[in-house]
Amino acid sequence: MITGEQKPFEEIWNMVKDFKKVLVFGCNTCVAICHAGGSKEAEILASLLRMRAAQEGAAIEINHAAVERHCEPEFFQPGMDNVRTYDLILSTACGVGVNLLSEHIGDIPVFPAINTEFFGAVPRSGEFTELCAGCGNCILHLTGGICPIARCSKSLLNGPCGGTNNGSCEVSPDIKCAWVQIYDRLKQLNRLDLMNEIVDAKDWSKAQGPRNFKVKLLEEIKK
Amino acid sequence: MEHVKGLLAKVGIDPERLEMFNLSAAMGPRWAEMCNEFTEKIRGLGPSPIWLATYRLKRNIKE
Amino acid sequence: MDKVVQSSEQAKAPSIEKSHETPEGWEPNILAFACHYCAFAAADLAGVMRLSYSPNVKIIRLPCTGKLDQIYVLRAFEKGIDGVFVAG
Repeated sequence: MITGEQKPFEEIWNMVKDFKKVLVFGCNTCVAICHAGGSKEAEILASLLRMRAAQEGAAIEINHAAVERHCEPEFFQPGMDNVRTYDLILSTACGVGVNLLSEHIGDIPVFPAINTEFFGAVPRSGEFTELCAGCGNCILHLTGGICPIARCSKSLLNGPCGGTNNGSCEVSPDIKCAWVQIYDRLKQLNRLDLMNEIVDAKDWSKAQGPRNFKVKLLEEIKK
Repeated sequence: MEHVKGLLAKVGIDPERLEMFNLSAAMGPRWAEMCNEFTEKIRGLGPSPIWLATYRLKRNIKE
Repeated sequence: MDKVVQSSEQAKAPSIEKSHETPEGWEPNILAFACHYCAFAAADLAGVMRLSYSPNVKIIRLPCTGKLDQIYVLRAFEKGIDGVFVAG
């Protein structure tokens, strides 16, 4: 799932202070799970902005709304007439949502209220960690299900570097060395032979944007 | 509670204006005491910035 | 709830209220969120015992203080309340 954290309040306030009618637009999928941009967070942010506006003597009308997803037009399309009555949309969706809404909304600006970070797992409620980098060329079958691209600071493909330090990474003792984890996991799976397999230089062209794809089956059905 | 206090501080409201008390159903006198204490504390802090802002706005409209 | 959020930004915002004039006739307006089973009962008891206390406190009864949402408190402040306390 996509994770993100709300921007500092001052930054958000500086974005909205010169507008007259602002909609704080939440997204109830990924960013709601990480308590950054769901309907609840949108409502709280709208309330805080109204309080700030009252104190600054700024006459801004600030409302909030939320839809289930900002990354598919069909979710926000039905309410667009209402959304278009505002002169600024402050989106608490991820960057994908901000981009897509901008494309559909016409001449109204859409600003981001959160910093979109990574796609992460939720090992415990309220904790988020990056386990996959979406590099477009998966080698998890060779590494015991532990991704060295996302979880090794250097994204090394063939074993640890000299900075591995009693199971931790030299970058921070809080980061576990991905290659130590891979070794342990392969040992557990009785597949240490995979450690000897050399992974060729990676084709990074698949890891960089702009990326897109179409589902072939659906394309054929359309024909 | 701590989180909301942080939110209030962000928009310039003294977090002291928000408080949490624990008491049982048998603590009637404590309730009265608590209400008085808290009222005095708020009296000390003065009107909330939001209230003042709206008050000023209303007064300006009248004048 | 999490204390993480309130760290660095707090310093930058105008967090301490500027000391300002108190208009004449101003009275503190206070909201109390009370749990039905403890604090609200205590308030009831205070009434039964004929205890007099500050009339500035208005009570909202919740089935449990767990029902309290951040937004309730924020809405109250947004409407210009001077203080909120939660009792449970």
